[in-house]
Amino acid sequence: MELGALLSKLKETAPGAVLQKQPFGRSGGQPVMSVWIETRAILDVAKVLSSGELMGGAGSWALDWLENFSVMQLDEALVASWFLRSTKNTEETLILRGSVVPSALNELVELPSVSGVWPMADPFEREAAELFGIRFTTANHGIRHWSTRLLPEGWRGFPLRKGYIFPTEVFGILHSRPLPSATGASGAGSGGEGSA
Amino acid sequence: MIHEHLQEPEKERLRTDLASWEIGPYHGALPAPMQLQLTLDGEVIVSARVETGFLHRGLEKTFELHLWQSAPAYADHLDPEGSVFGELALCMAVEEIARIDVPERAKRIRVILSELTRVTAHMGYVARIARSVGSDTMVHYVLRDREKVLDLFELLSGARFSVNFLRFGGVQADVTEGFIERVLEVCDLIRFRLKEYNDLLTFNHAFLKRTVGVGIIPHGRVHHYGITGPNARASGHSLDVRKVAPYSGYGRVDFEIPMVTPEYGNEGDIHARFLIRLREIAQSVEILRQEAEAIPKGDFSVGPIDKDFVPPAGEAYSRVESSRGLLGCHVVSDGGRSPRRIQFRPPTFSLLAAIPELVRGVRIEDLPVLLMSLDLGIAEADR
Amino acid sequence: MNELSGLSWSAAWRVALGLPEAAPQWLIATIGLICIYGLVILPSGWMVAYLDRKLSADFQARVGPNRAGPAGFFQPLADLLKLLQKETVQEWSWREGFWLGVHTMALYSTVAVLPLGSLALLVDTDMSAFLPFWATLVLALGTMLMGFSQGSAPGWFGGVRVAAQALAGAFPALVALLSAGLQAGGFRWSAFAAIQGGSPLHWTAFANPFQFLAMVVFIISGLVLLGIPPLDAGLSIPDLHGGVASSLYGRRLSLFQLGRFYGFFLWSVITVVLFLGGWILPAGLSVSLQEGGDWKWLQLLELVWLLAKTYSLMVILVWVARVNPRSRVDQITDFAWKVLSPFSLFALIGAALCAGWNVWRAGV
Repeated sequence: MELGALLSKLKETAPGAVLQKQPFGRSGGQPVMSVWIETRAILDVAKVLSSGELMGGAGSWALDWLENFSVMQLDEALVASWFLRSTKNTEETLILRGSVVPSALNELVELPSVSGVWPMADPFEREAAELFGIRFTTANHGIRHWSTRLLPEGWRGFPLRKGYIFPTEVFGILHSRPLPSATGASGAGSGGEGSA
Repeated sequence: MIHEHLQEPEKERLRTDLASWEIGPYHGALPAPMQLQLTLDGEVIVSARVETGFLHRGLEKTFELHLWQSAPAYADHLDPEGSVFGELALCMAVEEIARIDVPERAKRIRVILSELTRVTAHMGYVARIARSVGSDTMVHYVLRDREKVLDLFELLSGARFSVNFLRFGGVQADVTEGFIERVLEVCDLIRFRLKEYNDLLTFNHAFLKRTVGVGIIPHGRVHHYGITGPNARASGHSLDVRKVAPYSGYGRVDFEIPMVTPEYGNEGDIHARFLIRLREIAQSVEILRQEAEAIPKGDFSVGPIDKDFVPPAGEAYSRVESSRGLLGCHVVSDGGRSPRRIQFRPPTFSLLAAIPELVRGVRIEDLPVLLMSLDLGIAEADR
Repeated sequence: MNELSGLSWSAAWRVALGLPEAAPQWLIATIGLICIYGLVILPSGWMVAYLDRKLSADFQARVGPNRAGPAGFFQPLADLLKLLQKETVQEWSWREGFWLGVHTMALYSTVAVLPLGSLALLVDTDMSAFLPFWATLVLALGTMLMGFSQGSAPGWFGGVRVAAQALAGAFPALVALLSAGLQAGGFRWSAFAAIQGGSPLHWTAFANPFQFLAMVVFIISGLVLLGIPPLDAGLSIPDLHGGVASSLYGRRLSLFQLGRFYGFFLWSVITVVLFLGGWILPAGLSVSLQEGGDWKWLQLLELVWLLAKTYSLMVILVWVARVNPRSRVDQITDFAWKVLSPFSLFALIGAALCAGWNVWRAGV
């Protein structure tokens, strides 16, 4: 797949969206490419990629399948990765990345929601919204809201962010073992010896 | 005095508008703790809302708090029924980051474990469907045969379900003496028993009436929700990660992707999903036989992994064909002693998104069968 | 009235129980009913429950109960005692209690009508065979309203399903009953006994193919009418948590379960009497015992023979239930209306033609 051609076409249709490309991981052979996108423009890029408009109408690799959506925290930024694939041609794959920086530990950040383009994104976004504190906005400036919860009612904080501090007491039960900080120190009792 | 016993006429009225009924988190129709808010017109479901999150255990955060060495043990607990798949996805991703070459023997052992797990998971599936449909005899037969496979797991690792056997770079130990021979015996047994199941349940008239034409996932909706695995294959999409992106030596194994020809009903109904899994059991038995007969001598691991194991900085995304569908694992390492991020892509997410559409128009009595037929893994969906 | 012995039923019972001459009829009747309930119904429940557990275990490659008594024989008693000693946690509304009472009475009102032998026929009138049938319809009403009065979704749905099934099963059952009555020339229990003999060749079911069809229809529509597994959609556990029975436990549950067993037993006994030879002993034993005047032996052997056939029928039905999946309620009612009813009418017409043919031939 001519990624270069794709990217140049993307730059035409959504100017300023594409920031950078880099290979993903260390897979041998033909590496999978990941493309950093400006978060504002993610929805436009998503629409273009999923419809296959840029491929000359053949539609052979409309990237219409969002296989995975994962969020991670690198330094201060929350980096979201969209793993895209084509249902017609399973060799085609692309990874989109976008990053946002939360201003404080417990502040929400905003990302555009792509579930209008790829409906399968819904459960992933719900999870990221709750565990990372991301607000997913829809095209007409609405906010996606899910009533389902992974965390109990009244839970404060976003657990999957680094620097999250566990409460010392939950529902009256003491957190008996103080957990190490996020960089995985080897102390903290038997937590570091790998027993399940 | 009399007022206490007289009911107001309003309350006694037989209402004929839509009723709402909340099922869950624990209910006979549900395979795992989840909640369904149903709106009913008589016995027919008009709309449904799914609520999950009851099994959230903070697994992904746990990875980040412990060393790399303990990650496979936690990945083992991703899905209690398909524990090997979680371990395998994680190990493959980490081996890609750390550029570890897994020895041949270890790869074959991993394939054998994966296929055995697939067999046990599908047998559990058959038992759940039989129980939901009310055929108790079938439940006992299937579980009795599943015990034979679980005995194999116990022989290998000491545990029946969560084997905790895979490590980065191979497996924990070499297979026990006599394990391979017993695998071949179990293969023969299962081949024989599959015919029994067909006689007893698969083509039973009452069962066909309950399952044929019910709960159809149309061919076109599979990609809308991103459904993978046996459910997608029952609706006509032949995507199997073992063929598309072979891993751990699957490229060398000779097998076909089971597909369902709709001889008894429509593509994508409950019966098709049931048949697909029976065929997958047969296919797994075939793979097991090949791998067990051809297993080479060699190392079972590149070396012991101790608490100082640290992969270099990098990330990887691995895909595994689990019994429920495509299981993905995104691993990010920053060179530290604990993982930066381990994220699993559970195949059940797409099914949860599809449930509201699937149960529309279905009768309450079909709801248990339908939900069991989707093979929902709430433990892996909630993590 | 037992014409064979020349004694009225009350006199026969009085003699059997050893009561003095002046004992009033109501006393004899009451003691008789208690005897039947205690010596026939409850032990039958025990026996069938035990056979059910052990045979199901055999079918399913398990052991079954083997702790309570030799080979687990006292398991049904243990279950009953466990249920009876449960603490009452939830008060239930007067309506639930009322309808459970109606449910129970509807069934046990038929104890007097049970045909348990040539001497034990307390009610042997021209409507005898219909009385249990009406009782099962009242039973369905009571069960439905018990379900409604629970005020929960399982109760509502269970109640509606029970009522739908009862309506669907009533028609074919009635028509099959008529077919048997045609063969017998009446609906007295003694009339059914008179035309059948001890060996299977003389049973009504094998008299002609239409009667066999009527028997099959009668059995299946009884399952539909009473909600016996595998046609027990109103009590289904996976979707309704037990439906009508979902809020029953302890003594209420044991009352309900005994009632359901009794319905099953009743229908099986009637099937045996109507179609499968009833209590007539093989090899002419009935006649020889009657001529010999051995009333006690006659009654005992007839009862044992009748119960043996009844248990065999019940075990076969339990076997079918264990192996097959539960059917959906609309599939059951469709089946009853669209398959059983036409077949029952066909059997009735055929039976009528055969009966008429016999009369014509006898006349000629």
